[in-house]
Amino acid sequence: MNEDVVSILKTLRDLKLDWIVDEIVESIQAGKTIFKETLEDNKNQSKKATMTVSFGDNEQIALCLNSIKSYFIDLNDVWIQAQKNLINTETINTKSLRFDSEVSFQVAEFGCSESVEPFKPSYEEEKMKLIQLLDKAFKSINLQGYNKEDI
Amino acid sequence: MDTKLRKDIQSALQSIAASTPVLSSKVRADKLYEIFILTCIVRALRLLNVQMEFKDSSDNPTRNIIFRLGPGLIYNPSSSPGFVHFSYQGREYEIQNSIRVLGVSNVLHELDICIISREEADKCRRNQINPKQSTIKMIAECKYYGASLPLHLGREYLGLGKEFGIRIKTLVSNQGSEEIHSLITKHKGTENFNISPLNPENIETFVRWLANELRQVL
Repeated sequence: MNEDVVSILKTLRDLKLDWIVDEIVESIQAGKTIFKETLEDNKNQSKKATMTVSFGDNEQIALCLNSIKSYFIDLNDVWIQAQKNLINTETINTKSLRFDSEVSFQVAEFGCSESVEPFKPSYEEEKMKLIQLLDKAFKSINLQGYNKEDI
Repeated sequence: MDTKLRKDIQSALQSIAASTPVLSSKVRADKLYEIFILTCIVRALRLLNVQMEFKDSSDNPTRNIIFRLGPGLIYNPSSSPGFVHFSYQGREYEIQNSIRVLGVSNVLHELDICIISREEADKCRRNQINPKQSTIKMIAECKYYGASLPLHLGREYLGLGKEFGIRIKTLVSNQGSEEIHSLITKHKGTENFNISPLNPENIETFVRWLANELRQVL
């Protein structure tokens, strides 16, 4: 595995984010499927087939950085969008106005009334720093974000 | 990659990790995505001019809905989440999150998001029993992943589909996978991939698709 990826995964493990590490390792180990043409025996016709190949160094880095982006940056946008979906008034009818304007939601463990705070107030500042660094990193490997077409 | 840049990223990860309790487990990250998909269903129902009300796990109206981290039993308020109660064409339903429902084999399965008949849900809460698959109108299996979707998700979805013979059952994810698409469409399954705020147009398409499908089955 690429050395930069190994080093970043170690940081994630130290932060007790093993589940993210495992997911990245599993994706890298699975490799990528590519199409290739093969010539049929005793025939001049070619046939399409697939084969699985390993990711290259930059692809491994891109996969790793995109996982980080998905969880540390994009998941916050998912949470914000979920709340926007509830206050979106484009097709609202009068009877559901109360529901839309005042409802909120929380996440809690079983049997526990105390909610889990998904993102702390300090998150926004940290998020901006990480976005800038990931942007630089993607540019350094000639990728504007992870492009699925490349993998 | 430039060594300094890599070290800066590692340092930024150390800082941001303390601000993201949601990432302490995959279950928490998945839960946010499930809630997001649930709100897409709410938007789809709005397109059908449906009246909705949030309820807590004991079926009382609430303005603060609590979702549970893990599969719950519909009749157990400490494990079941809040839900959305709505009526359409004179019939009542509930949108539920992470509850266990009996499949055709009488085995319990956790459904990430489902729409269940209100009558059945009421009966189950009253009698402390599990809901049956025949009263489920829609299922959405929600998968939030970092970069690529593992193939086993497609296989699991197919297995679940065998247990719930209904029209609207879909695998929804922020990512996409050609392999899973091929696998599940071959078996008449439905996927809605790349549904995330990164692709706002996909969200709009998904919401409209849901509205059309729900209009047919509710």
